[in-house]
Amino acid sequence: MSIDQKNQSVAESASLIDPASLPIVSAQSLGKRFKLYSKPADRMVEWLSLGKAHKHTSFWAVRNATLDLQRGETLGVIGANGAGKTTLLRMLAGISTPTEGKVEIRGRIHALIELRAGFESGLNGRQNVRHAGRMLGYDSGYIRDREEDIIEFAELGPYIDQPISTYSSGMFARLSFALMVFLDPDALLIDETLAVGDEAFKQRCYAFLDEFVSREDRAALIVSHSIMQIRRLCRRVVWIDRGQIRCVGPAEEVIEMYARFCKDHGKAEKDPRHIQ
Amino acid sequence: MFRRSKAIFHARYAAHSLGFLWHFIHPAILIGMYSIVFGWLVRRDFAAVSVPYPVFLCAGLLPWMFFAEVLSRGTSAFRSNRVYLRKLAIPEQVFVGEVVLSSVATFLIQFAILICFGAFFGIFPSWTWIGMPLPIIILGITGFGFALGLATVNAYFPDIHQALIAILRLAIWTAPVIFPLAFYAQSSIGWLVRVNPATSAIMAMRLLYIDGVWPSVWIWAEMLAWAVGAMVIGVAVHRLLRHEIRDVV
Repeated sequence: MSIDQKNQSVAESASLIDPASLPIVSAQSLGKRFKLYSKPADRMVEWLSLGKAHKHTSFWAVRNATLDLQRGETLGVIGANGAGKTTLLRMLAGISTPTEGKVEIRGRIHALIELRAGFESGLNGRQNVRHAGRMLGYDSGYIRDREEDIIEFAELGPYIDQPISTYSSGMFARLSFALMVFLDPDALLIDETLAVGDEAFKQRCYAFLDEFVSREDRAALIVSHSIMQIRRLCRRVVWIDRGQIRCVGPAEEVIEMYARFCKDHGKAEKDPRHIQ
Repeated sequence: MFRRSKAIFHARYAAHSLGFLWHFIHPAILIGMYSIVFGWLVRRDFAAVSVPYPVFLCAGLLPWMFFAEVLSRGTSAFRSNRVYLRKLAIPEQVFVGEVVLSSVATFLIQFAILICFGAFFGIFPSWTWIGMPLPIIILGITGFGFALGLATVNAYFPDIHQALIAILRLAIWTAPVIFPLAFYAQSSIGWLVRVNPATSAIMAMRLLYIDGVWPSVWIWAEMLAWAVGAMVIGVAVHRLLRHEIRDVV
């Protein structure tokens, strides 16, 4: 199933290994189950019966996922809608608790899952930079030192002092991305958010990500439907299908397998550029 | 937790013209209303109240409002911060902690105003005032513990918060806030006053602030027992049910 899903736990357990050489994120046999209830009272019935009553159906969004995010790499994640990509990313980022398996995170990770995540609508752009930075656990001095870089990269000009309720999706994308990258995490996990910006912004993001992962101790994980984007940024790709990792390996090989699968199963997007 | 709490606190009032002032407007209306009704319209003299009624009322009402705010806002903390919980890897406890810290800040300013207000009625500094932060700290820990457990259950069942608001509206009458403790001694609801988690802290605050008397060991023991009990319950409930909180809020 996987090209590089082996021996990681053995290697990690060896005490002589330099921690800096270990993957930034390691996931072993990850699984996420959602309990689906037909009505809210059913959960109460289950609780009150101390688990004897069984009122839910289980939906496994991700099952048995084992992968590493190595230092110095950009890992791509592809798959159809509902395949479990975002659920996997949320678990890798430490946002969602896995139902089974474990995630080891070695460093500071920023997940860019939604454009407005961490932003308050009542604040302006500049205030939101400070607010979101503090929410991510940084002190005011650290954020202040990077504030001008963030604003410059976001290219918001005078709008940075306007309430974010007046921002377009593109402006949110630029501000969110700038905030997450200039706070300088060890790893960036990005879920489709680059798709919102215009072409010029995307090119700047690509260049920034290339530079980011060229530092050997950094890594990025990109979830995207855009094969062009994955091909441009990633040397290694994970393909997820219905919650299971179908393949992990070199980008071209995995993309080709995914493209063939989509063609065979009629899942290719109408736009032929989607699979290239 | 402190840094994140401060960020949420700032953000909450950024869009309000009067901002933080709302924390004084609401209690001022409540204190004014109770003072008029129970200090003037009803004109009931309580033998146990040695100071003007508004001062007696404030010394009990402010700690009660602090506790009620921690419980009320703390219980809805996970649901009202779902934007953060679903998208950022921030520990859930931070959001309950923020409620406690912001409520402490509000209480401190409100109580500072009360001290100025009390000076007009002859309440002057006493050595026992150095102990006044202690009941509030212990009451804050009690509130954090209960709120953490309630917020966890409320993530699954939002009815919990609505039920709590109703209970708190009734519970003010089962704490020695509007009437002195002695008033309840012969009452059929006296036992409810004794089991109210805020009763001992309110008694301690009045003794320290108004009477200049250090509370007895039993009052301190009762406060600490509530704090330890609430923390044990809150942490246990959160640990038991936390795995799905971010999926259901």
